[in-house]
Amino acid sequence: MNDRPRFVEIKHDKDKDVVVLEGDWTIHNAAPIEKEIEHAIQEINGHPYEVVGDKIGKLDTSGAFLLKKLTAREKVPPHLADTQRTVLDFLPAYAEYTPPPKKTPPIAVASFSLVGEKTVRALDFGWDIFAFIGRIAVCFVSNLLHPRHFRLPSIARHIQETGISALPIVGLLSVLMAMVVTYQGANQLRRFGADIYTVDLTVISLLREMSVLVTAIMVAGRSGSAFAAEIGVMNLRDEISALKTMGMDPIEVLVLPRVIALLITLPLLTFLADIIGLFGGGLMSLSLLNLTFDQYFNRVGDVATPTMFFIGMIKAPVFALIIAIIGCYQGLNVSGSAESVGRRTTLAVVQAIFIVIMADGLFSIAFSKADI
Amino acid sequence: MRPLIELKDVTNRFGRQVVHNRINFTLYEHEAIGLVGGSGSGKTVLLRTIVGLNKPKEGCVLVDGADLYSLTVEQRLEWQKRLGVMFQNGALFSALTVLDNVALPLREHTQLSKKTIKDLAYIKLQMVRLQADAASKYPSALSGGMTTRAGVARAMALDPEILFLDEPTGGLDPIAATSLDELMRDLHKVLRLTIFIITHDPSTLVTVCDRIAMIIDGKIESGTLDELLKSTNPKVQEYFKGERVQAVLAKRH
Repeated sequence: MNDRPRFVEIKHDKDKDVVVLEGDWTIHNAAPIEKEIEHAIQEINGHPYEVVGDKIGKLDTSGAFLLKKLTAREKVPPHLADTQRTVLDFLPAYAEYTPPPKKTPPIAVASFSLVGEKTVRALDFGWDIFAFIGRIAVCFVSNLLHPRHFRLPSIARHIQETGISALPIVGLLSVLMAMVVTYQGANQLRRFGADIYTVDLTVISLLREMSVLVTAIMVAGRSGSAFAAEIGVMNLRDEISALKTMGMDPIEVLVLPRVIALLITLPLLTFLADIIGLFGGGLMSLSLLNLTFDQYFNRVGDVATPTMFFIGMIKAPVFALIIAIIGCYQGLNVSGSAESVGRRTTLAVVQAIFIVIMADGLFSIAFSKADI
Repeated sequence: MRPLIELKDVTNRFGRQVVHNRINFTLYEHEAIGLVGGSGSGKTVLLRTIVGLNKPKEGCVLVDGADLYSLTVEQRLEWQKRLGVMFQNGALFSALTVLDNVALPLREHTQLSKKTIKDLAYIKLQMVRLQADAASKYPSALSGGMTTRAGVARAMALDPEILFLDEPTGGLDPIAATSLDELMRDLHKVLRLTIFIITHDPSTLVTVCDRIAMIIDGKIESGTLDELLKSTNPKVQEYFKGERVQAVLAKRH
């Protein structure tokens, strides 16, 4: 039924084929027209042919393009009504799109150059990040000499965003984490009748490791990504270039306030996580170990030492530096497209968390060598 | 002429600032209309209201007699395919090449073969006189004029009946602006498109537009160029007596 073509019909004359076109040659019919043209070209199969298009209804640029495709081989222009001829003439000649040739080197060469590129890029990154840290340090020192250059409003804003807004989530997370640690500890230690050491386990793991690590990971996810995305979009919209031309150093205006803000908030958040975590552990001990709050905190007082607390706290500013510097670095290296913002933001979080955990490992080694 | 889009008592406000105050305006089939008005007078907001991106606070937008903002999802899609929009600064997708930017709506809304889509997108780029090497570039590597052209090509991808252009000649050099004016006039005269142009460029108004609409204090004043020149409204007078507009009018025969 529908086999009969609706847009292209071929009549075989003695010396040549006549292709008669009808219907609306518009984008809505483009797909069926395309198929019928393919059939027609096959059917004509190299014979001379003539295209008659007087009966075409509407013709838009997509239709005109297909018509050009049909008549591309035969130089004779199709018969058309005048209004449609103007549309056809308006379009440039039919040409197939040929993407610019890509040179694909042989696989052996390609794999070598890939390894080389990756290595160079990794080295560059290492070099760049050290140079970046250096620039931040220089900027910080020069600001110390001229304290009016510190951007207090900006620092305050970032303390608000990276610190105060993060309070609820960091608090909740540390309670939950402390409860899990206490619960698992109590279950295992009960087998040895050493339930009471559960408190030791909770206190030591929270103060020394868990609070600061979980807080840092949370902050890397929240603020490291925000730094990268904010600065990245500013970079895309040439706002960074604008700053430079106005004689303002993006490091001083954008990076330093974020670094300083995070240096202030991450230790505070860690402190909060310590305290709230201890309460969380208390809650769990209350039900699992049948301790009263008084007994629990007495035990905490026996176990916790200032050294333990400071071992945790000393890591916080280091982690803050890592997160802020990597976030800002990735933001400043955004280029070109929205895709790049996404990629750099991802990198900011992944690298920050990775390096934070590496640094934590190094701290552990250092502390064990120093016997604390 | 058949009305395509009718604004009925459209009011837009942001907070306490009234941008449009009970605007009534009709866009007819096959006309080229230029929308002018000072900075911040709500030209772009009006365009967003007409293409369905900004529901007016009061009043309605009628398309073929039906309220645009209460169409069903399918009706809305059908309507959307009938119009092409070029946003200010192109709004090209930065992750796609220029060719893929134009090919994207074709891939989404037609069943053409992959090769035909590429060729069709390519001919549309040639139609707006973009050079062959621009097709494989990413938008971030384009100049301002090329970005605008690519934006027009993408807006034309689905052969819309109505083409909306937001400041197409903004930021272009005079030669590029003139050739873009020619392109818009051809699209209007040859392909019989309805064209709605927001512009600050007097030569676009003179060479392309049949009718001019002017936003003044939240209202619209519209008419042909000659009608507006005779208008007694002091704001309209002020606009057309300005040096830049006069310079272009002087060259008109």
